[in-house]
Amino acid sequence: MTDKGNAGANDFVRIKSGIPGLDQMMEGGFPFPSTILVAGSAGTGKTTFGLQFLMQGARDGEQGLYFTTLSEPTQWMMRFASRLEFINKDFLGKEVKYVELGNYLRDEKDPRKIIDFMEEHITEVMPQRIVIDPITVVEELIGGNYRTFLYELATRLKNWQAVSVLTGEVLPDQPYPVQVSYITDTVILLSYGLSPEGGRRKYLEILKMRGTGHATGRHLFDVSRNGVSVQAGLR
Amino acid sequence: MHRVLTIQNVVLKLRQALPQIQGARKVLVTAPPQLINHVSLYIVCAPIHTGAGKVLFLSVDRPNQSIARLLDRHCNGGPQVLFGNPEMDSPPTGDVSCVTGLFAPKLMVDALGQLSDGPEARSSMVVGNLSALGFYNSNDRVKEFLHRIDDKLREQVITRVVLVSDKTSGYILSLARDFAEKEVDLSG
Repeated sequence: MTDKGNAGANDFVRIKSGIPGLDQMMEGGFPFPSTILVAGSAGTGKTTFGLQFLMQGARDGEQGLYFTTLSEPTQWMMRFASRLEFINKDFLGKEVKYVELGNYLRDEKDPRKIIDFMEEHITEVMPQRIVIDPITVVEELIGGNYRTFLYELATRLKNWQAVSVLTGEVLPDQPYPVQVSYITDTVILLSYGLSPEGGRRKYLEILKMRGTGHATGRHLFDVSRNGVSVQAGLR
Repeated sequence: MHRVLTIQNVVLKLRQALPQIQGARKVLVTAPPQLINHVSLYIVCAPIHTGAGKVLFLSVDRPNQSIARLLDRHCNGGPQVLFGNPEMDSPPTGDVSCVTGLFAPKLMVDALGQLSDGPEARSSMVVGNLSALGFYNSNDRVKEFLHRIDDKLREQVITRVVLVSDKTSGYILSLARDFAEKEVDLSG
């Protein structure tokens, strides 16, 4: 008897996002492997989201790699991050490694060389979790090569068995970084809105998530010293 | 208490299990999905470290370039790696012969068989990640694939096969369990 069934009909492996309230909005976590865009304007919590994601991985025995495209020394970023309650300093430099890309990007404009440089670090560390924060700065640094860079990056990231979170700045004239959204499996938007009383609130919305049934619409979220947390269902 | 499965823990468990699988020709190693890469790489590199022979590596859904980089970086001394071209006139002399792909795994086994330079080479075969085959192939194809490996063992093209899998695909896992003589569970 032949069996023409689909052997892969079972679900994707999922890993915890590390963001309280988010996993329940997306069938338990991010598909492993996959690429995620976390987009938002300044101050919405993108970097905190990325750090929380890496710290969750470290707690689960996974290796994380954080690329910053800003020309910011490690100690500068860590000085601010150390104020966050969820940061376990024992993981830094070991389970969570930090690579500063900004200086390299200032001198090198060839997309393939930039990605080769990143891939050397990925090969070395073999991370299950990667954060590139923020990806959108690369456009300012390499100009016309940005589109090629994104497509090459997407191809390479999908070859590494990892979940990659790319953060992106939202500009006033666009809802989210559209070019980046094409190359990612998931798009999560962090935005501001006004409460009925006129106060400023933060909202999280999953715009797209391939292969996953996810909550729709905007959900209230908060950023504090405990990190980002979503109040799923509260709008 | 929840025990965190780091790659160090997993490799330690694998080392501890080695005496149990000595002599087995068909071994199934199950590992957490996030660590399959690491486990496959460790198993591919082990015979090279010890000079125990050549390795045929059937890698599902990893492109040549990333496999080459990983082996070069993490296998002592950087082994000679050859990527599958079964049309070659003469067999290559690399430490690791590798075929990567998604579909028709039976053909991948044939390609690897042709890359092996005869029974005297005493090659072992590593398949990683077996469970990923389920995303791209029907159950029948996966069954044929395992039968084909059996043929290669009988023909002594290969002397041993190690299947590396996670536990996400129940069907493929049950096929692999039927196939294997020994199982090492690194997943819990």
